Amino acid sequence: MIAITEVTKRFGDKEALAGITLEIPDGGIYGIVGSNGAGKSTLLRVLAGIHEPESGAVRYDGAAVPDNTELLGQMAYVSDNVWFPPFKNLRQIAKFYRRYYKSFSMERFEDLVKRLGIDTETEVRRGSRGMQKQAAMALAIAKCPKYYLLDETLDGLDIVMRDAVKEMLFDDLCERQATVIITSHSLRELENMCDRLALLHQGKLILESDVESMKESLVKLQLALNEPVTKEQLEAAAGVPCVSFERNSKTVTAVLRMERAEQAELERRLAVLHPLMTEVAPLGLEELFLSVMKANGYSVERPEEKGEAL
Amino acid sequence: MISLDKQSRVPAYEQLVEAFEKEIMLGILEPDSVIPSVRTLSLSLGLNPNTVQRAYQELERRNITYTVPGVGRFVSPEGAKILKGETNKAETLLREAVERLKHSDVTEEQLVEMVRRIFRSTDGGEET
Repeated sequence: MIAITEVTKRFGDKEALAGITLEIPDGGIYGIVGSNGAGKSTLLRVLAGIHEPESGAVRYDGAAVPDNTELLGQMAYVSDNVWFPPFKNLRQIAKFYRRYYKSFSMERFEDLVKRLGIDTETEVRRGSRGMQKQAAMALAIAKCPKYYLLDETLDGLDIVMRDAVKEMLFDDLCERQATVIITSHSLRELENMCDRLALLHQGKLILESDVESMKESLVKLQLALNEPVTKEQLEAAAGVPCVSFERNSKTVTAVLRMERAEQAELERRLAVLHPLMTEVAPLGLEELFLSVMKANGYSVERPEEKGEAL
Repeated sequence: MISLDKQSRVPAYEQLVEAFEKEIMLGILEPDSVIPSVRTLSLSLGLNPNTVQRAYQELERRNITYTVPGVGRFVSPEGAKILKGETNKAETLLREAVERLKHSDVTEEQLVEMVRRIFRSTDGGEET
């Protein structure tokens, strides 16, 4: 298990991580999502021992990262900006890796490049960004790591490659109880892949939960009413607090957090408000994050609609 | 063959459990026939192995499947019988439907008549 306690990190006067506390269980896929500049990559770099946090600690089964060569040897960190030495092809780099990492398997490497059809003979730097990401991922997998730290790695790959990489990660999960920590902008991707998700915003942890219960416990409610209701009135009727609440002249859109069993009763509970129409729908992760971000004051202002348009 | 709707909001492990239930009830998966390993199914569906594991645990807990250590997972001989006996799920669905109809001021008589009509029509009889 990876325990992250009260980790802070600042760059100049920007607080990149403002006290993050998280536990990442072994043998699963942990997704980190968030707005741009939320601190996802910084958190991964702290986990990889590249940045040292100003305060707080990261412990892998009790062990600290810095200068721990054994632990570092069990990690594969794939940065969003992969760097390769000039004039080297992938096979030369793999041979270099083998000298430094005990666990690096040349056999696995050869099998991988063959299966994925990766070019090993041209200088890696001359390939496109996507091809460089593929190369970095092949090296990471061949390292047979216990911990994968992947910074938007899937986002840069084409769909065939993404499926192949996912397959290999799943395989490592089954065979070796590997732990995968991955950041991404594609919630759809992570939704079906991760066991748990953490949502970061401005260096803070906004939400952390296992994916299934996250999806199950939130509902989107739409009401049409003759009489306007306040957030408090709605909460009193529903019996649970609103995660978000939005009111237009006659309609109310709200996100509620409640147990599944309660959800069946929701419509009946709301009858006291005499709604003209009630609609209860489960919430997709994308909608969920949008509403949570909005509640945290993160949204892009729409330009004012002009009445006298052309 | 098992397939999932990834766009659906029904949790993946639940979809999996339902898919197995259906195959076992229909006799597509026969008693004592082998079930794919977590690894095989996870790879073929592109689904997190832990999700598959969770679905399998659920099936096992309800004695619909059993495990032979070191060999694999199999459909219980009494699996189909157990599933047919489990009316709870259907009752929940029925309860939801009844509650909804009650809200739209359907009387008890109308409701019973509706159920009778549906029951007969699905039985091969003619709808009146």
